[in-house]
Amino acid sequence: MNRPALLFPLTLGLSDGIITTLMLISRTLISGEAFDVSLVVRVATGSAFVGGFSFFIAEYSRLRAELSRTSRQLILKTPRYLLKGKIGRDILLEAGTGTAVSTISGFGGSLVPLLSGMFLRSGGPISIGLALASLAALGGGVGKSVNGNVGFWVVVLVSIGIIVTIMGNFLNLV
Amino acid sequence: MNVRRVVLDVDKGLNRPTLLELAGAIERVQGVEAVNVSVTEMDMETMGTIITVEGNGIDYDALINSIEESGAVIHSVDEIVLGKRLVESIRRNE
Repeated sequence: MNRPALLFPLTLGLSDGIITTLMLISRTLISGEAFDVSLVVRVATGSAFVGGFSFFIAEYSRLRAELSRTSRQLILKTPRYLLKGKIGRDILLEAGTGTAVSTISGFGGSLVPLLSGMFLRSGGPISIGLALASLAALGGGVGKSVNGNVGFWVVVLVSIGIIVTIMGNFLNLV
Repeated sequence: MNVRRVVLDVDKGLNRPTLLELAGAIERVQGVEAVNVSVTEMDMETMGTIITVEGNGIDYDALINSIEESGAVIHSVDEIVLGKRLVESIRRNE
C-alpha cells in the first residue's frame, strides 16, 4: 500500500477513535468523575475494534465491487477469474493492511480524551479541549494533504467534536 | 520450438494490474528478453493494450499464465514468431 492509500484508514481510524470516545465518556469528563486505566483500555480497545471491523467490511466490499465492475467491462463470465489471481490476493491484503492501520490509529485516537481525562482529575473541560484540538490538528493535516481548505476542515472536524460531546453528555452512556 | 516473438491483444482493469506490474510479470517469464506494453484504448474502467514480447526460447504457456495470473485478459494472439531468427510478416499488395 502506498502512502496516499494509507491516508484513508489513518484519518478514519483517528477521527473514529476520538469521536466515538468523546461520545462515550463526555458525560464522565464534564462531571469530573474519576476513572481508571481499566476503563481507558476497555473503551479504547472496544472503539478501535468496532472501527476496525467496520472498516474491513466496507473496504473489502468496495474493492470486490470494483473488481466485479471491471470483470463485467472485460466481458468475463464471472469475477472469480480476477479473484483467484494476484488481484484477489492484492485486494485482501489491501483491506487487511487498511484495517490494521485503522484499528491502531483508532486505539491511539481513543487514548487522547481518555488519558488526558485520567491524568487531569477534575480537568474534564481540558480533556474535551485536548480532544477537540486533536480533531483540529487532524482536520488541518487532512486539509493540507488533500490540498483543500485547511480552515474549513478544521472547523468541520471541531464542529463534529462539539456535536458528539453534547450528544454524549445528553445520552449519558458511561 | 524456439518461440522468439509473441504479440498479444490484452485488456485489463484501469488500475489493477498497473502497466508496470503487468510488464514485470511478463519479464519474469523464462526466455523473455524484452517486453513492450502499448496502450491502445482507455475506457472508464478498462484499458486495452498490445503486448509485444521478444526473446529466445520463450516459455509460451508460462507467458500466458503470467498474464492471466496478473489479472489481465488475453483477447487474441496476433502474431507469433518461431525459429532460429525473427521473420517479419510480409503483406501481399492488393
